[in-house]
Amino acid sequence: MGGVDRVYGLYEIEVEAWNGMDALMRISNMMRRAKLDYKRLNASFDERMVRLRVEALGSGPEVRWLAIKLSRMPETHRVEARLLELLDKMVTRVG
Amino acid sequence: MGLFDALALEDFEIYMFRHEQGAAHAADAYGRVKRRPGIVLATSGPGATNLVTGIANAYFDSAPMLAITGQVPTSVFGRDAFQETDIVGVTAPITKFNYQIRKPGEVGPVLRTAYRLSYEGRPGPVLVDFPRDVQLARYTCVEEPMYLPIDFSKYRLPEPDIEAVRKAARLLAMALRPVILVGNGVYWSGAWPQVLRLAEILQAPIVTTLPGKNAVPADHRLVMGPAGMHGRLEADAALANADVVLAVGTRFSDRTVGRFSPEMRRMKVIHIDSDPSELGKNVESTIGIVADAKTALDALLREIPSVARRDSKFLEWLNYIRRRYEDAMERWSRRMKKFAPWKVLKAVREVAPRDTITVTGVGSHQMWAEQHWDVYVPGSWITSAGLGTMGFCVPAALGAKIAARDRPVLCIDGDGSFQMTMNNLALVRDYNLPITVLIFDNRALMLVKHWQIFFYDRRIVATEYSSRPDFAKIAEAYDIEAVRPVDLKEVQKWVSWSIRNNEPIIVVIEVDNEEDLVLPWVKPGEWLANAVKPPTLEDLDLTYDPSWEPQSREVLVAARG
Repeated sequence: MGGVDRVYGLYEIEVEAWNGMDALMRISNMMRRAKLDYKRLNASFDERMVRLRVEALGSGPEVRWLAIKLSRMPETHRVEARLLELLDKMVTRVG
Repeated sequence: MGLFDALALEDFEIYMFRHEQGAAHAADAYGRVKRRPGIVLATSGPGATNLVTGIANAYFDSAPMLAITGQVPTSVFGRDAFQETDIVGVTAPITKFNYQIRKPGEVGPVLRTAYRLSYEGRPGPVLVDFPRDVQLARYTCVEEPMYLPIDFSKYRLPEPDIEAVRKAARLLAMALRPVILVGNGVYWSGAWPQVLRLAEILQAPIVTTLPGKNAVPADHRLVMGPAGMHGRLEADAALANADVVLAVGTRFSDRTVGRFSPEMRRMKVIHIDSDPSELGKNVESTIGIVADAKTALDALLREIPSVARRDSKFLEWLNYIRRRYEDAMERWSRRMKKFAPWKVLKAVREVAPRDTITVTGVGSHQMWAEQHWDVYVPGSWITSAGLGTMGFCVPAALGAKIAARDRPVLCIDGDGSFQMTMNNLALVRDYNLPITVLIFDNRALMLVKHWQIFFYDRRIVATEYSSRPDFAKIAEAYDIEAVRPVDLKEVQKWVSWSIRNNEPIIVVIEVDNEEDLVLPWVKPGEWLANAVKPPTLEDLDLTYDPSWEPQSREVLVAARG
C-alpha cells in the first residue's frame, strides 16, 4: 500500500451488479460496515443491472477495503474507486 | 413441507435437531471436517431466524454451509402472513450469498450455484429462501432456463507476485527473530507441511491464532501454541519480540495481537492471505501477498536463500519461558480446591487418540483448551472463534460425528455453554452419534465474571448460577451415561471407556468458580508482553533481552526454588 492510499479525501465508488433490489440491499449492508462518511448516492436500474455511484469521505485504506469486499460479492460485475479530492485532515464517520 | 416431502423420495440422510441453532452449528462443523458444506433446512419465520446465530458463526469462522429456509407463498409477501420473515434481509450481512427463489425454474441452478459459492475462494455460509408456492409448483426440469451471471473467476486465486515473494524471502533470511503466525487459512489450504518446512529452515517459532491451532501439530518442537488474549506465554513472548512476522491465513484479530500499535509497527510483517481485503485491514503489512497459502509458501520455499543470521538464543529463551510456565501451572494446580481444568485436559489428552476431533463450547473451558489441549492432527480442532457462540459444542460435536463416524469426537464444554443447546443430546441415541462430553462445571459464566472481578471491583452481576441442574439426571433423561469423577485417574478411565466402546458419556468436572481464572491473560487493548501471568510468574519478563544467558537464568530460578 503506497503513501497515496493513506490520504483522506473524497472518493467516488462505482458499482455495477445484477439482481436488482436484493443486490442493492447486500451492497448497502457492506457499505455500512466501512468507516466512511457517505455524501451522495445515485442508483439506477435497468432490466439486467443495478448501477450505483457513491461519493464518500474517508481514508484510502478504508475505501480499498470496501472496494475489495464489494468486488468479491457474487452479485457485482464491476467495482471502481477513485480519489476525487484530497483533504488535509482526517474525516470521522458520524452516525 | 413440500421440500421435506420431496426429500423423502430421495436417499438423503436427515437429522432432526431439537433447535435450528443446533442444526446450523452441526452443519458448520460438518463442513469444517468434510471441507464441503453441510446443509441445514429450516421452516419459515422462527425456524429461519433461529438459524441466524449458527449462520453468523459459520460466517465469522469462514466455514462452508448451505442454509435452505422455507418461506410463505409469494402471493402473500409483505402482508405479514403467518411466519413471514424477510430472512434474506436478515442474513444479508452474515452470508457470502443469499437468494430468494421466485420461480420453479430457478431451483436447480440457484441451489447448485449457492452450494458452489459456499466453498469457492474463502468458504462461508450461503442461504436460499424457498417460498411455499415454489416448493409445491409442478415443474419439469428440461434444461436450466435461468442463468445467474456470477463470474466465478473472481474467486480463482492469483499466482503469488514473485517479486513480493523474493522480497519476503530476503526479509526472512535477514531476520534475527522471525516468527510464523498461523491462522486457520493454513488448514483450508492444506499448507501445514510448507509451514513446518519453512519453520525448520528458518529455525523460526510458530505461533497460532485460536482457530489456527487446527493447522499445525502441537508436538512439533517449533510450535509454541496460540498467542493472544488467552494464549500461551511462550507464544505471546515469541510474537511480541519478533522482528519479522510471517502471517499466513489470519486476519490479525484483536484477540490475537492485543493492540495493533505502536509495537506492531516496529515489526516487519509479511502477510499472506487468500482474501485481499484482509491485507492492511488490521495490521499494515510490509509485504502483502494475495494467494493461496500453500502456493505462496511453496514459492517462498523456492526463494529462501541460506539463512544469513539468527539470534540463536531466542528459541532457547522461549523454551525457558515454556518450562517456567508449565512448572508454575503445576504448582498452581496443587493449590486448587477442586479440579484444575488444565490438568484434566492434559490427562484426557493422554488417553484420547491423536486423531480425536475436539470441539469446544465458549467460555473459560475454551480458553483452558486453547492453552493446554494439544491438537496433533490438522483439521481436528473445531471452536467458535470469531463469533464466540456459547452453545456451540454439543451440536457441533454431533455434526463432526456425522462427518466422521469412525473417529472419536470429544466435546469440551462449560456448564453455561452446555445448557444453551443441551436439548440436542436427543440426537445421540436417535442417530447413534456417540460423543464424549466433558462439562467443566463452575456454576458461572466465568469469563464474564473474570472481567467483573478485574474491571468492575468484583461486582458480580448475572454471572453465577445456583447449584441446579443435575447434569447426571439430564444425561439419564437422554439415556446417556454420566459420571462425576473424583480424580484424574477416574477422568481418564471414563473417557477411555467412552472412546473404546464407542459409547456416549457426560463427564462432569467440578471446578471452583473463585479459582477458575484463566491466566495468562492479555487485557483488551494491551500488548502481548504485558500479559497478566499465573501465580509465581510475576517476575517473568516477556520482553526479550538479547544479553539473556540461558544457564545463569536457569540456575537463578533453581536457586529460588
